[in-house]
Amino acid sequence: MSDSAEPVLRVEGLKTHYDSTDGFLDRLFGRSRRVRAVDGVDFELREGETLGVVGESGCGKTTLARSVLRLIEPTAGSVYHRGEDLTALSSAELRDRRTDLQYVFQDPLSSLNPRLTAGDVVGEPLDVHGLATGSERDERVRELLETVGLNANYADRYPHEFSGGQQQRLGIARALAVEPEVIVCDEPVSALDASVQSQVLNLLSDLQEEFGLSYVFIAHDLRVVEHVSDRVAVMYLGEFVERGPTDAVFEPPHHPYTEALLSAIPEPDPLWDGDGIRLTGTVPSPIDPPDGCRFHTRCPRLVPDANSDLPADVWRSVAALARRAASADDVTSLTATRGADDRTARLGESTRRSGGSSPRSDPATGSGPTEASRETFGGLVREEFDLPETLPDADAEETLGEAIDALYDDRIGTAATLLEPAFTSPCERHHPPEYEVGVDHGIACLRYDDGFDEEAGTFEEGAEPAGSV
Amino acid sequence: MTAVLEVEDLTVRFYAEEGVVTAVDGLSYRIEAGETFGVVGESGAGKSVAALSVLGLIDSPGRIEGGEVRFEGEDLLSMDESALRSVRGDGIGTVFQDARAALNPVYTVGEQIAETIEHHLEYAPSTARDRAIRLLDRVGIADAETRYSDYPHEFSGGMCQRAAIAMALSCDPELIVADEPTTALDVTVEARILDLLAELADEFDVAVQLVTHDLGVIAGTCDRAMVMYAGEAVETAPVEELYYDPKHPYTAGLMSAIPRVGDDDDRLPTIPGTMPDPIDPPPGCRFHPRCPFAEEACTRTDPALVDPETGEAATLDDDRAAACLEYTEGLSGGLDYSVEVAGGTGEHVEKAIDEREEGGSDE
Repeated sequence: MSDSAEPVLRVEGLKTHYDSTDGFLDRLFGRSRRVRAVDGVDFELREGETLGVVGESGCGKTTLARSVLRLIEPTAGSVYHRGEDLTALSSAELRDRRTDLQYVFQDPLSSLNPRLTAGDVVGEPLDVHGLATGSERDERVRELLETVGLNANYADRYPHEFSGGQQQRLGIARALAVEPEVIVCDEPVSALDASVQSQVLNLLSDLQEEFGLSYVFIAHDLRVVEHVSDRVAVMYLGEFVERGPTDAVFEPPHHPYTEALLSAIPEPDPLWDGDGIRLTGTVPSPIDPPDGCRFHTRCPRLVPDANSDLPADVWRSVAALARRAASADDVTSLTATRGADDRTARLGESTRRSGGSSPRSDPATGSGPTEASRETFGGLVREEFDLPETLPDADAEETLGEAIDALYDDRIGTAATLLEPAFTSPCERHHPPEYEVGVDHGIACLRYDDGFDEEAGTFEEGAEPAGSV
Repeated sequence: MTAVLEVEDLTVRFYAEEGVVTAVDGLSYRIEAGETFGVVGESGAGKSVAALSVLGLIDSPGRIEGGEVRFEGEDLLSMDESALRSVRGDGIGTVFQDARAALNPVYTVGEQIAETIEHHLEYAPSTARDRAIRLLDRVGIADAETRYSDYPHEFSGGMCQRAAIAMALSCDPELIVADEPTTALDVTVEARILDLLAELADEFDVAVQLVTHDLGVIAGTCDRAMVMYAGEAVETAPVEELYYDPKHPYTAGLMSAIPRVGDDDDRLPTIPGTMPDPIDPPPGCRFHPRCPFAEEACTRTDPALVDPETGEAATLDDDRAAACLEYTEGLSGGLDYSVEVAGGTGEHVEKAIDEREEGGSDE
């Protein structure tokens, strides 16, 4: 602990963008598509601690892990190791740094060279960095194998001869060979069975204690992350939405995304009532992430417009319609499927049991929804978005009615324009900064802004949230 | 209650180059109409092979060597391929782990569902299409009518699994065999797919055999569950009893190995060692090399599945069974573990396994 003030690893404004421009035609027409996999991430890793990073697939966790060690070249930002910027190092200097910074991969088998024996897999870093030769090297390899709980006599076996758990131990032994300070573990146990997973997690924690290692631990399983981490960062679409000490992150106050992740954990207890928040849809494309708060398209706690008198959940439903209308190119996508309320099973039942081989048809269902009456059409739209027959607020109902009229005439753009002014959330306009909610605990959500009125569930009149527009 | 599916003394072997693998060894269980039955175990336990046997999908070098699989009273194993084909799809629907691979990439998702309906229910194409759209809508695919004409690669992983569930339900089956249906999905998506499965099982009154390695998944969705180890059933019980009063040391060990939110222990209890070599399983109880309570007798006698209360051989009708010598001969040291319900709210269960060796080795 030479300098406790300086963290082992300090990441500032790290961005990694991929160019996914598809071939010649895209280039010809100048259509560039940038995947913003990691988009401005800051964190510190302190000596001897474990920082867990969680999020759904597609959030950029793996890209982040690899960018930190420059296995993928970051687009912008800096990674300081002991005060020195890794992104500015030449590749030879970087190679020397690898004796301090190591990586454990998700898939144990594919990360091991199938043509090397276990001994050579573990010994290779020793050769590359010239750390040991001859009998000293062999001795060190045996020692490493034993450190991770493998039999030293297995040094001559090939990776495929080991079980999944043993392969992951090999990967860990390889990382340990250079006596690193930091190991970035990318989903190190997600490919393993429950009983083996706990063995490897225990091994990692033993090694941390023995060698004073610091881990960046990437995982999608919150149960695992909670178990191993001192601090946790929750990642969504290339950004951290919440970070803090593990206990604080797992207790309220939460970012709505953290809350949703927590309530989705399948709890191994039959009497546990897990009917919590369910997120709809999947992570949006990082090519064109949503404006404002990136989570607003799925957020169950979207902040209503301050001028609205509607109950928050009804407001959110109308806002969902407004959002869909703004991006839809076909009215049918805004209505419930016709006949969906008829029980599919029953429909099958009635025609199926009558036997016979002649093809038959269901009762006519008509064609497009716009051919239905205006009234039916309105009902279908309301059904799709779980809206009541009339909104409790007269002004809002009038706007909605006009919008549905427009949709009925197939003027989607008009409908979107009608709804937009009254049904745009501050979350769509402001990109939330990280708000300090406790010691070392930050949440990037407008609900934690000073101007947010908790009781009303909206922003105080005239208050503008801090986030950049 | 009538059993939709009865599997009795099923044995499946694979003739591999290295030797004969007995993937499933004398497995018996039953699934009642409308119930959700969980099959849980680690990789190599034989749970997927058991599921594939029910569907008659065991291919060379695998062979079903013995036993019966009765679906609504009829033995599937003695049926010819065409009779089996009509049971599959019509009576038994399937949902696999990798839904994208289960869908044909060159046909639209909707066409594939409609095709199943046309084939099995003899619907006219336009009617089949309508039914497919309604099913897609029912499984939660927004804008089902447009999505009908999408190809599988245009669907996200969760949507593919929804489409697969729609296809499994399309012919109104009595039973759905779901093999690790949510393993490849994110937690948030997993939770929604599990909710959907439970909802539909109820609405369509269909029984589900849910195969998974995740005890958390079983707890939330199943009525009864069977724990498998190295090709054999080691315990069968209604889920509440399985979780609060596990009778087999493997079940208890598996549950204690799951990290739980709110658990402050630094170390996780583990089950030392790994699954045994399937070609040469250990003699006696297959779990004995990893069992903290194993005694000399365990290395010699293979315990039968018995009623843990009476010690009598378990029958297909028994709801509760475990395969441990403790319940027949009795172990001199007994099974020394207990279940703790933490917090007094019943929200979390924690298992404390006493005197358990903390072996870190995979050997």
